[in-house]
Amino acid sequence: MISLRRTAMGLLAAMYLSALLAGWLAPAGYARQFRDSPAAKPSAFFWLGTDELGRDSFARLLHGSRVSLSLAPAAAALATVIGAAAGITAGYWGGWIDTCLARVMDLFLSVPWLFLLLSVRAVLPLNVRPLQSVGITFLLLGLLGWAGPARVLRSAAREIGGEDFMRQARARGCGRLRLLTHHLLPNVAPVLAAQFWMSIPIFILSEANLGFLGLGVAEPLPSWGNLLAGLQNVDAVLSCPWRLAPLALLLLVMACFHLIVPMEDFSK
Amino acid sequence: MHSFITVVLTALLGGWIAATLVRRSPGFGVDEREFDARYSQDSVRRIRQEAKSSDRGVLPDYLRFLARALTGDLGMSASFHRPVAALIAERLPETLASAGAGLGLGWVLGMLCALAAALSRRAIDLSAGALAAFLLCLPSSVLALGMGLAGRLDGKKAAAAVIALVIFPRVFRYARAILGRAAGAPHVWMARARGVGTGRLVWAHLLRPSAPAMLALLGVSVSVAFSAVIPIEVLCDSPGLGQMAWQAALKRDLPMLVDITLLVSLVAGVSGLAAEIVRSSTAPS
Repeated sequence: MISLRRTAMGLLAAMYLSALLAGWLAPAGYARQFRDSPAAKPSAFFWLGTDELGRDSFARLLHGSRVSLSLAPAAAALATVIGAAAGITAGYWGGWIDTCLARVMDLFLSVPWLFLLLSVRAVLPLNVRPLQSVGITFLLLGLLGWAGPARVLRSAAREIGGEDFMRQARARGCGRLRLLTHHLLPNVAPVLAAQFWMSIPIFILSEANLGFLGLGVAEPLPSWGNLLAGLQNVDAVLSCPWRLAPLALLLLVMACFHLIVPMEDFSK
Repeated sequence: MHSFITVVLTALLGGWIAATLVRRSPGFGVDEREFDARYSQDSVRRIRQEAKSSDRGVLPDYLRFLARALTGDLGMSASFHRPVAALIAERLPETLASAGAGLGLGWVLGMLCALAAALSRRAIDLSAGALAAFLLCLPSSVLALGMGLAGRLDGKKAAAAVIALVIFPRVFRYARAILGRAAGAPHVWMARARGVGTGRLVWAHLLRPSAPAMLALLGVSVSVAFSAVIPIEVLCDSPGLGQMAWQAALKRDLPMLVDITLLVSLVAGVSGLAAEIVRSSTAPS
């Protein structure tokens, strides 16, 4: 299992590296249209062929990977930070603060957030720029996805707060802030890291679903969501199976994430 | 009663958050007609002024909406040009049927595989675990597209099948962990050694003690199923609430979207409450 995890981490690192070097590996760019070669087959020049508009599919895949692989962790970091602030505050302070924050967490967990995302995404200006649409999509994911990590961190903070070493530190006159920064936070750090890693694939899948419905990242900027939307052209996919490359890459990345962090959380 | 009030408050707060997020989004109040070249600058200015004059702020508008909703008036849909209440009444049964069937199927499959895996059926454990991992790696929209390509089922049945595929891996992985722990307990080994039959072992030593933990997940699984319903109904062509929400989103029909979000939050909240009531009644005192 350890060797499998190492392989998964190696694969993810390679994918991140190739996504970061997208401009160098695929100099054609994601938006340039080769009008003489629409829907071209894979060749030495177009490794994964071109789409109907003559855009290099390999370049779009790499640039799409860059968008999804860099912004999903950013959204996960945002969700984890908000979740940590809410969860640790609730678990550590307890009392009415805990009750109020727990209610808010329940609220966010019970609202089916794809409906909420759809509502907010629908009111964006019609002429929204692609980069804005990327930022807003992932910002929304981060802002709406904090409740799951918060709940886990709340119970972790409560559990650690009741440990003997915490009581001893309190009995020896350790202040609340010092208890929090020197004793509680270092001990919830592994839970925090796990929550961060678990949120990334969830946000990648959420963006993929939104993009598939045409409500994710705006064209011509590629993301895995709007690249997967191309699969809806079934005839084209059946005649050109290399168009399944975005799906294969998504599966590979998701499998790597699942191998690195086992997903036992049902809350998302 | 306390829990019921909590659910109602949760749904109301959910609606308010949806309304606030929508109001604060950069494109709120922008009319599609503003981008229509046939409208003159003066007409566009008037359209903007009309929109501005009808805007009274989030809270007053939301309270007015709630007062109307209490009388059964959920407003008019701007995209369908029909009362929202009538549209929801038409579409809700479709979604409830497909989500209910999908949830049932997903739970039965997940629990059966988890039970077989917990009872040391290694082949089932490996194959169901691999299938669950594979399904967890796919977005629900791709699953729905795959089901549509298979083309053997009509809209509602296909939607139910895809929801089952979304629910199955989550139930399996959670139940596998809980039942596996229960199956490894010393008293279960003792019962096996004393020749207790499989049926009794499963019911008395595995399912009953694990029931409260599993039931706690029932409410969450309803929320998961309703979230997955949007892409699934769109791609399986099942005329339910999810498909209507997507159409409303494409046509920027905000009242409809807020109504649907409120309703779905309520359904998810009530399901969570029901699961909690059953859980507390089955939990050992």
